[in-house]
Amino acid sequence: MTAIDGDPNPNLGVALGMSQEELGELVWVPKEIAEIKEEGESRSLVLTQPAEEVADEYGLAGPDGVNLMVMTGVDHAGAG
Amino acid sequence: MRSLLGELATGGTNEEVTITDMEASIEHMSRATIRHVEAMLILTEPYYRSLETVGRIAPLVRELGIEHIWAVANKVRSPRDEEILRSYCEDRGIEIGGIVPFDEAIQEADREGRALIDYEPEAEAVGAIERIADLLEREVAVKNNGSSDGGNGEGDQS
Repeated sequence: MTAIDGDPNPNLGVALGMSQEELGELVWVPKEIAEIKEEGESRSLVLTQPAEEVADEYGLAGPDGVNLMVMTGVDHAGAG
Repeated sequence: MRSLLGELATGGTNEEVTITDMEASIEHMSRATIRHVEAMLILTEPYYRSLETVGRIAPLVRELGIEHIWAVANKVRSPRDEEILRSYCEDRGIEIGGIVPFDEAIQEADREGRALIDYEPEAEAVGAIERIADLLEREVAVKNNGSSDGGNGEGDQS
């Protein structure tokens, strides 16, 4: 099971039983994992590396085996 | 982020379930990006301002074609609170997926930086949340290509 925290104030990790130490070391998923792809009129965000790699690299497994990724801000990939 | 959910849910990780805690906004959602979302819980508190968020979001989510939409009320303190919630949702045809009572144990667990279920497994709120999990297990079919339950977080107790 995967849990994705996209809240502006991410605190899902605590609810999943992770310690402050673990969460302090958790690297948030950087917005560089996605880029804007333009096809004619439509613009969409696509991954720049396989999803499995993203999960391995940025995921943290909690005591119940739930893999947490913090994706706050990834929304704004390619912005500005 | 939402456009990545589908890929993450299906991207060869063989995940059965993906649960996402989102901000209370669906601005960036489109039919294409939510096609992997089977259920959405819209969190609210039994106050008019918070209920209005549900009233605004639920029809939009329904419009996008998400099959299961439930309002979940948090910090419910009294039968009067519950009545306000039920009446608001009933008037708008919104199903209630669960009612989590106001529970001091949640604040205490938060001060300790611990999960409520570890801090006080017998807390009333834990029971209420377990019933929501049961509802999801019962009602939401997990598709072969993975499943996403989007929680739209307004009124987080922690």
